[in-house]
Amino acid sequence: MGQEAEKEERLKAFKGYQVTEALCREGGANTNWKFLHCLPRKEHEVNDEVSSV
Amino acid sequence: MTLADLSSSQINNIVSHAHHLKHISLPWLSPQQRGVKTPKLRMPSQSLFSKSIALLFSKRSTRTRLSAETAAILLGGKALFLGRDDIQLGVNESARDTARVIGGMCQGVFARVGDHSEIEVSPTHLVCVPCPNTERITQELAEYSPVPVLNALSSLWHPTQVLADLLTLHEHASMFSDLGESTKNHNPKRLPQLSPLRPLTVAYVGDSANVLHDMLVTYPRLGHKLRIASPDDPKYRAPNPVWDRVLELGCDASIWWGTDPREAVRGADLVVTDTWYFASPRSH
Repeated sequence: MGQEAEKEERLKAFKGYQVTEALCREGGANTNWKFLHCLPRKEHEVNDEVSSV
Repeated sequence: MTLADLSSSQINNIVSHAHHLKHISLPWLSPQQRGVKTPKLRMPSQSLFSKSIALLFSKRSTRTRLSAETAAILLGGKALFLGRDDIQLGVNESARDTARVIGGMCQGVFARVGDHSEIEVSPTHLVCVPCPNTERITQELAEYSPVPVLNALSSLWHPTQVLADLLTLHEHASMFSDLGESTKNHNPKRLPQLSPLRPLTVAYVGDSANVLHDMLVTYPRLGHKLRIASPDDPKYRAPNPVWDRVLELGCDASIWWGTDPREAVRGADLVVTDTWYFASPRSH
């Protein structure tokens, strides 16, 4: 699979998978939830308002 | 090759020992941050004295290489960095021969010979090439090496990342505790004990990759629950060799796996993710 097709397929498959404050609020995470990422973190995976442990 | 190979008490001992070594080592690493009064420096155990450790890396790395080389120095040893352009591994020489040659002169191997996908640059664009061979190379190294081989990352597993995550969680245990800061050890003369971590609900949102695989075989055995969301396609689920280890260890009872990220984060104390999208790491 070419790079563009792979990128497109992944973006579609992972739609809604970005970790955000809203996702965790709506999903009912513990109000004091923490975020952990092994770095480098990317905007697609988690937006910038979320800070790490 | 994975934390599935260790018992939960062995894992706890490693994390606890890492905490101890980190506490002793940090003042050596930040002399410029010393106050006016020089603190007493304690020498970390020189357990690698006169030993050399081969760092077998097939791809570039910032954190893993820096931390491994620094650790070897602090423990009195020497790290030999052997990158993909430095040795013949996988090109002209089998993993078996490489393991024997290295084992004849080094006393340990720290191997990072693969990733979920290797990202290669072609003249026109980046392509993601799945590398099923990398797991085999790591296993062969371990099988034929006369000296210990530690997995610094393979296509299926990433045990050192999960050990580092556990240390981070223990260091921040008070964040998850109702007791707050009072659980911290305030006596500066004594080495701080590793703070106990209460059982957590850990959500993972993303692709089934090597970090998650080691979480699957580790967190449940340490009393934590896992809630995972990955897209509805077998290629985003844990492959059979991983799930076999999960079942063997009875970890599946503490794992919920679905496709909705919202459901996955329900009741989560901790939310984890990892790369699922290969953004261009370098411009062409």
